[in-house]
Amino acid sequence: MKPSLVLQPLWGARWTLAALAAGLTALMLAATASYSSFGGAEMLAQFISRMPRGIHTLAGGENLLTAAGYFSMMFVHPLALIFKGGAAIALVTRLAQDVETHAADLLLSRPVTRVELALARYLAALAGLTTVIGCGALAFLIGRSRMPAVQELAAMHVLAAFGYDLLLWTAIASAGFFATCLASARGRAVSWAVGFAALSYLLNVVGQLWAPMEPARRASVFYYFRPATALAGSSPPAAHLALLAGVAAAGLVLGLLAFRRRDIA
Amino acid sequence: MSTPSTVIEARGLTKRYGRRRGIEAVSFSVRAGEIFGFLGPNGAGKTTTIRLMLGLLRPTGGAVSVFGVPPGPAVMARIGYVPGDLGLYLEMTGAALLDHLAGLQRGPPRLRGDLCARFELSAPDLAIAVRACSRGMKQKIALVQAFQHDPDLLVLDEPTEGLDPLMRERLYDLIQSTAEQGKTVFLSSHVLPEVDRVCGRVAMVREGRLIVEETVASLRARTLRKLEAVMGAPVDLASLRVEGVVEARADGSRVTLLVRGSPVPALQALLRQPLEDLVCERARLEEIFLEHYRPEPGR
Repeated sequence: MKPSLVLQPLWGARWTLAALAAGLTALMLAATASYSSFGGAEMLAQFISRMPRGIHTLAGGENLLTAAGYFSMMFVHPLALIFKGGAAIALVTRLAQDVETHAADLLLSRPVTRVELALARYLAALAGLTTVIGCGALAFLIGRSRMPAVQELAAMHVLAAFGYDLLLWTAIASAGFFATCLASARGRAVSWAVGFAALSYLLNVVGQLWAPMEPARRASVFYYFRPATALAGSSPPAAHLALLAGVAAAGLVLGLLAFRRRDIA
Repeated sequence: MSTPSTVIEARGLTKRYGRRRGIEAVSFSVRAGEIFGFLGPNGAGKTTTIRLMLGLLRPTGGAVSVFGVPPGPAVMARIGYVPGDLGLYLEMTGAALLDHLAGLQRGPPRLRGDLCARFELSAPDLAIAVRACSRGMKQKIALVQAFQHDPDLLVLDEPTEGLDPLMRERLYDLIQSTAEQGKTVFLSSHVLPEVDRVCGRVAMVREGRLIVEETVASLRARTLRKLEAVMGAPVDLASLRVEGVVEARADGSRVTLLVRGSPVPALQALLRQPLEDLVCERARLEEIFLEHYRPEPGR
């Protein structure tokens, strides 16, 4: 595979990626810097006891009294979701844009296979996502080094949590990749990818708030994402990791198969 | 890979988009070293045929081979393609785009310098983002990317779109010199004078079906041409109804003959009369085209 097939979309999206990475960096710096201003576990306990259940659920539903629980909230903070989702979807849907604008015609009328092209676009999306999440991890570690209260979280555990986060967003990006391999317009691919991420998120939230919907949470990729476990130094359940990896692999394979067989029109 | 004498061969090529017609049972062949014109009005199926040839579309029926094999990466290394729907990366500069596309080829872009000079694309022109380029500039970039690696087969879909007359002439010269080097050119167009000018053989599609495939010369030979003569005295029209003349009419001293095939017998007949002036129109592909595309009665 020619490296330029991977690098070209990354170069094209460099300003978008830079903005998303800067956003996540700022959020993580702000989160670590403001931790002690909440007044520690005692103040948090009082605050959380008055917090409505819905707000607690939106914050990730973890035990916020611990540093791991508190910071796990940052992984599903609405801004973090926007930054990471933006990175995942902006790049992974470039392939549909290539088809829509007929740029794919120029690429595929060269000795480039469809699988090569699609795989290159997928790898570019993963590289972009890794960059954004990596910047978030780096910012968190910088914040941690400056705030003693955050240092109760081991650096390795922080990195493991961000790795876990990367796995979740890879799974979402792969679902988006499958959508983009079927779509002939970027707008449609974005709609399907955002729809998948949003539906998955809502299913998880509604399942926590409303008992009859609780079993449906298992259909959400967010159900299998427990960053507090990783931040606390425990290994996330292997089944959860396997399921996220499975969704990622399935999205990739189904996408490649679909793109190989479809009409480029 | 050697070059077989038949470079492109389509047999019963059919493409349907659900219930919508694409092309139906299209068969033709293009030989090595020829400039093959592919004619048809908008929506006739020209671009669909090209996309099938390049493997961008999967045929519903029939088959197409390029250099003796189905379209695939090995064949694509030998093709230069100018798409009708030009999709360029607008954020890149012209030079970066040409580098990017050349980097995906197996050979170096060894003709780029000559092509840029031919189409008057200077280094400053190529240093601006494609987004800021005019339609003509984008088309020149599209031409350079197609020719720059010196391919054996050029597939050109409406290649003169956006070019000024001078650049069109330069493109025609380039096409002709490319064919003289033994390369094959497949030229899809609805601009009849350009097909007439450069192509040796043409195929015409109408509503997804191939209706003609023959040389431009034989098409012309079958086509009516008009001879308009000014006579010094009244003439007997019966004496002008010689071989090839399908219609003869007079309007005062002006005589009009419609001739199919060679005009020589009609000219000889006119010279036996008191001829004062004569205008003989060359049979143009445009008339042949209109003859084929005139709506059928009842349609």
